[in-house]
Amino acid sequence: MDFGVVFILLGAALAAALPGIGSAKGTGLVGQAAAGVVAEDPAKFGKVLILEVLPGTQGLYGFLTAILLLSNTGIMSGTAPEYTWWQGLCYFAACIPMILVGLWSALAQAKAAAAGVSLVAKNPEQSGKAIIFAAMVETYAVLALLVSLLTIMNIGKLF
Amino acid sequence: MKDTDYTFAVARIRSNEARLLTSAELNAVISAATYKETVSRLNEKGYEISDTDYSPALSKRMENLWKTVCEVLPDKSQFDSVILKNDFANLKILSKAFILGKDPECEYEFPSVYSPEELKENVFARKNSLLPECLQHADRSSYRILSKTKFAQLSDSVIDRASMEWSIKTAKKADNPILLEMAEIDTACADIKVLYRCILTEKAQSFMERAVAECRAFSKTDIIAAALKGMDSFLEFLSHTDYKGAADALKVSTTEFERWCDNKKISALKNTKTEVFGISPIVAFYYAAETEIRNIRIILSAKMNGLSEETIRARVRDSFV
Repeated sequence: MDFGVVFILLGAALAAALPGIGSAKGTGLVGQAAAGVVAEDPAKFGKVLILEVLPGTQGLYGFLTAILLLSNTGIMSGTAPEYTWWQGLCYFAACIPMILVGLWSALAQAKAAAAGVSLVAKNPEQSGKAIIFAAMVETYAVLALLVSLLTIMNIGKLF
Repeated sequence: MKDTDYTFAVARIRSNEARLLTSAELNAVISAATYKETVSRLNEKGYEISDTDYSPALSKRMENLWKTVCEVLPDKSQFDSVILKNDFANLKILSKAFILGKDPECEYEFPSVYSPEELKENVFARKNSLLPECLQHADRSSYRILSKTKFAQLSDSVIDRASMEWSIKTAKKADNPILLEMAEIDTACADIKVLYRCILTEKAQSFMERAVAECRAFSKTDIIAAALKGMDSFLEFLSHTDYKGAADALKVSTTEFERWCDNKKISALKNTKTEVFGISPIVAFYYAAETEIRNIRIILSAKMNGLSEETIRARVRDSFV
């Protein structure tokens, strides 16, 4: 038996875990800031909620990457062929953009979103701009997701 | 503590900051025609000032400010360097009261790190070792001076110096640049003020040595040497430091100098406006709100005494918002 499947499972596990950790930490951080604002002015709940949700998307992207990987490789359906170690490594490499960018962009986006919460606290009418600032970070998570997904979907053609 | 531990606190503080008076609102308050109109404009902004006496409302405001800061701070001791000077001010009150053998006549400074009542108990029982470490030396020196010489001015200066030195020490321990900056500005301003008075009252070098605290703005030896040569030399010395503005203000009056000191702090704090994490925004808010209360006190007192709008504007401190 070859060890290719180990790399595939490792890729799926890290794709789900690291962006998930980033999102959990990120939403937690923004949640603290949001709670601070709502403690003073409950009417701002809606505005700060959007900001809190933003760093949570990386966790979903990571989950999506892991599911697609497990599905495309046949692990999920139990029909997985035997993968050589380098084939498994290729699948693992496909997950790297999502693993790394997912983790770091969630943390960076959380800081931008927490700053946005402070902006909303002082100027509620600027909430749109606060969301845009935080959403800009999302671009890189989306790019990483696209690279990971496209690679996973097309890597089979190489073998 | 990590800066992100203050996330909740900073967000709450930013919400509170939005309620501070802006420069435009402060101007509108100043331009009110009468005391009653001033009170009415302030009450529209959330102050609850009565038409007869503004002091209780402002004291209450200060209490609420401190309550808010205590509620949001994950660790209250981080703020010690900001309020420690009030403990030393309370020690001054208590030392004099003890020597005079009666209860303190004036109100204690608020907020303070240590309970004034506990300080009183230990100062009056001469249980120096039971006082907080930072107050012990100052208490001993003050007691020695007052009991032997009754030289209250020297006693006050010794306590003030200890206050400044401990503020800097505590700020360094808190390891936050803005806390240290505030302690340094306070110390430099206190040194300038005490030396200015020393020159006017022709105090000896030994008095200056005991009253001046070390700070990074200037060398203690150099500033005392300049002060010993007289007022012109002292002001000339200051004009070559970061405290050039202080020299210009002192040429006008001590009131202008005090205003300049407060404005210097507010100006230094404005850099924290872009900070989202850490204790700095909380420190800035505390000073900003404290300055606002001071401004309102100045305005109401002036309005009550019928001073002109121009005079009030010359005394009012810059607004943080």
